Amino acid sequence: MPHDPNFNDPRSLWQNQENKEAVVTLDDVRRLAARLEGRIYRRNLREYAAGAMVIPVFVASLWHYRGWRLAAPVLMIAGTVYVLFQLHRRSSTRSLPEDMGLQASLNFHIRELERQRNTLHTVWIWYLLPFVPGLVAELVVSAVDRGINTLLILFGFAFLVVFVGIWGLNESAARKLDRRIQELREMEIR
Amino acid sequence: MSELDDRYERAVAEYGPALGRLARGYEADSEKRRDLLQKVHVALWRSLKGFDGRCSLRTWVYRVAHNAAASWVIRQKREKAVTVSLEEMEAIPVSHDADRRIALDRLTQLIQRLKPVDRQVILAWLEGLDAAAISELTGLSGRNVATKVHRIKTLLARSFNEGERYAT
Repeated sequence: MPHDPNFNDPRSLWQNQENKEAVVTLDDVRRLAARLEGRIYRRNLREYAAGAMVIPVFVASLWHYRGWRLAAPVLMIAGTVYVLFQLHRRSSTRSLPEDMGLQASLNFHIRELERQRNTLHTVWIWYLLPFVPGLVAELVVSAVDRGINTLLILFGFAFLVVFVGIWGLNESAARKLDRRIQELREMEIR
Repeated sequence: MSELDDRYERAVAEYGPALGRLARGYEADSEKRRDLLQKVHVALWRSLKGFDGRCSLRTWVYRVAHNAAASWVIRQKREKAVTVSLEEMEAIPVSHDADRRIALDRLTQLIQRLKPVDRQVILAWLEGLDAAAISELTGLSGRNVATKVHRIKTLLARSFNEGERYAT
């Protein structure tokens, strides 16, 4: 302790606490900033690698389709590329904005929650919808080639349940964030 | 040394210890706290490129630090798990221990259990900021800050058995 604080005085107690962890040198900061950049670079690389592994599976399937039936794998590839791009763009490991010092903390907190809320709220557009054309095309191909049978109906129903389920869970999480944002907004003006 | 490095060194010379205490208020786990503190320092170093004197260096440093820490809390998804508001905290019974270490641990635990906005207010108040400075830092209305500071004083008075000094 730098000096003996009055430990019944919270301010004195707080300000005079032992604080060994507080030492971060300029060299530490430079090294950490470089490591952070490296981490973002490696994350990008991993995401591209994941895309590079998924897409060839669909590309390989192109050889099994002829004529208009090619629409199914082509639409699945396009949907996957779009979703991977969106996941990359919306990644939670993005850097903190450099203008943080200009934003009051309540405002910054609201913006962060709004960003998360918007991501959840629009999940059907950027995460679910891109797969729909490819899946519908796949169902149509199957229906034309093999007829409408129980398996096809179950397949279609399962996709519907999964899609509605994902959408519902994300909407529910978005509504919770909405309530929190509203509480914070009220603090700004009250 | 570049101008940015020089600004950073000056900011840390003055507010470095406060940043360490702020990290303690946001993170209970010592290893994660070290990570948080490093992230706060990197965020501060990078942000100082844009520091143009529109607010004081103190406000800038505290804003960056609190914003980085709040972002950490959101990303660690702690917020919904265990935090409570100042109003809810007032209803929790407290014990009165005389030992300094226990008193500091109790204070730290109390801070860590608060919702981020209330945590920012109490940390700023503990660092000696007045209501106007807390309002500038957080963006809360003056009336809201006054109410929260009053609640903090009442809560701490109850916790530290110093009713006469802090409840008024």
